[in-house]
Amino acid sequence: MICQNCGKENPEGNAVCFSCGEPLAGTSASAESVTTEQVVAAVQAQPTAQPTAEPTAQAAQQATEQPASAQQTATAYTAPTTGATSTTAGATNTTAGAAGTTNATGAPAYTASTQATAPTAPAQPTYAKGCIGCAWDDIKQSNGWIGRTLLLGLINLVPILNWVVNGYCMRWARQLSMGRIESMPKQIFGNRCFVNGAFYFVLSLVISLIAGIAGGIVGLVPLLGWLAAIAISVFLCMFLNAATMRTAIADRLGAGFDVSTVWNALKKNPGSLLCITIVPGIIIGIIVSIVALIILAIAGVAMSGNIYDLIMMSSYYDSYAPYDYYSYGHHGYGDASGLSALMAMMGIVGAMAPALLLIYIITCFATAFQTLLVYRAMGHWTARYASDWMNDPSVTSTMNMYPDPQPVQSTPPVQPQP
Amino acid sequence: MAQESDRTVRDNIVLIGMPGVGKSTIGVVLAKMMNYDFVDVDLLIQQRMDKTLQRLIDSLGPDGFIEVEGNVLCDLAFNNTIISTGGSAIYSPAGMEHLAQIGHVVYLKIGLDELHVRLPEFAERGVVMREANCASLADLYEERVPLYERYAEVTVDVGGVSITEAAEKVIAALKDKDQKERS
Repeated sequence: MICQNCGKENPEGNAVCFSCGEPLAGTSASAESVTTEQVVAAVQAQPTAQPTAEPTAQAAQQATEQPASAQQTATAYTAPTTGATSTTAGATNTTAGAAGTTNATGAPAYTASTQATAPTAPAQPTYAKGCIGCAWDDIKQSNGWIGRTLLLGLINLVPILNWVVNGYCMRWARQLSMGRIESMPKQIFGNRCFVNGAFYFVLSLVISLIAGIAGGIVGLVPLLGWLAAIAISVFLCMFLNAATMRTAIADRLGAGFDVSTVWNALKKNPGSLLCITIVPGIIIGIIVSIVALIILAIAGVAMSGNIYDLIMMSSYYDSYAPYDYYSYGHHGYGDASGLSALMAMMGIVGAMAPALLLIYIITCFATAFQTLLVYRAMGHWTARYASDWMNDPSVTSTMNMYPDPQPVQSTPPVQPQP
Repeated sequence: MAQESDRTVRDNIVLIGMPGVGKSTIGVVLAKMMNYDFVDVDLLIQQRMDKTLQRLIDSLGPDGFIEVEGNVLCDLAFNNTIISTGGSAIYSPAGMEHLAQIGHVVYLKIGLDELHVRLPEFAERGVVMREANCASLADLYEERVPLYERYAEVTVDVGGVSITEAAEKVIAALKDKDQKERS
């Protein structure tokens, strides 16, 4: 339900706008009947906060030093006319509201209670969108994301060089904790991507060793041990993701080995972290498998004729040359069958090769996309649940030794109207 | 005459404070209690520019955004209105001067610890940091609090209280100030 006064979208069931306190159209509430408690209840039930832009002082200083003609000038904005009606009818509301004892008789039901004192805001806010959903939006909104993801996928094929892929994803993900919401960086090589990828390689190596040893030990117990080994692997993958983010933010390998700090952050929302760790892989794996099956099925249809020929030729050969295939008397049949078999094989390869190549490219793309999605989701998770890392001197002291290049503005400043 | 016009002109209440302190939420409730109108400057900017704040930052940059915000603040003309400013309003001296001329500037104060609790999604709010040395909420807090205190006529500590209690504290503080001025 959209508020006609301020344009904010309100949840269904609200009779009062949480943003401006005005009664919503189409409801039984009116300016005279709305009480303070109803406004408080609507505010308490508001959706999660929208992102706000908050420049810093240095930007402000530069703005004041520049000529004041760069931007569009806003015309005077006058108060809305609804103020007049609320003023004339509001005397009793004012005195009662000041004492905080206005009764909410006849008010529509809201989620909050009708007590005079509203409950305090919850310490842990709920988010409108999950980390994976936000990461998905971030990727989709980046210009040229398909080509860049494909390029990352191809780079992923080259050993050692593929460290750049993880490093790129880490450098993009860390920006969220630093308060920057930007599109995928255009620069893939450079910007410490290779170094961060190397950091990830070391982290994953160490954690994989631990997982392998621990899993091997508990896996000796049949069934339960195997399940425990799987659980240990999943847990350590979660730990690796969190440790990787800490390393990325600090831009220092040692930060990821701060086990207690990473563990404390992991405890804040392990459910979300578990989703990030396993869900993208499962979904993307299923999609790629289905696509591969479809491609192989099409290729199978294309080469079915050649397969049939091969089968028939082998049956013919078996039927008409049953004694000693390499005997002197059957050379003629062998030569013709061999040529036909070769042609049939070429037909099969001709159908399979493009299919396999296509599947290979899709797999490269999917792998890179999964990496991007997981890391970016981890960036959101870290910004939400591990924001205290930004106050940790062991992180902030090295965080900006190699700052990211500043993004180029996409559009020129708006010229003032004459 | 100047005093009368000054009294009639300054009949608004301007709320300033850190992001997440609750300027908009307390402002809405305060407006209801005092039977004032309520205006959110961030919303005004978005309506005027027909873009979200984040898009404005992306297209104009922080410098451009501050200038647009300053222009909007300088053009405000209200009566009996609670004006909730954006956290970056204090970067525009001309805008703050105009706000002081049309209303009483109230600084909603809160401690950094409580701000961390209220604003764990700090990075998710799209606060743009242009400088490498201002990378956390603590840095922003340290940078801005002196500015808020400089422009504030009335300071109200809203830490650890409910929305209604905070609004009542604002009303009480304004009444105290008014009584002191009269005496």
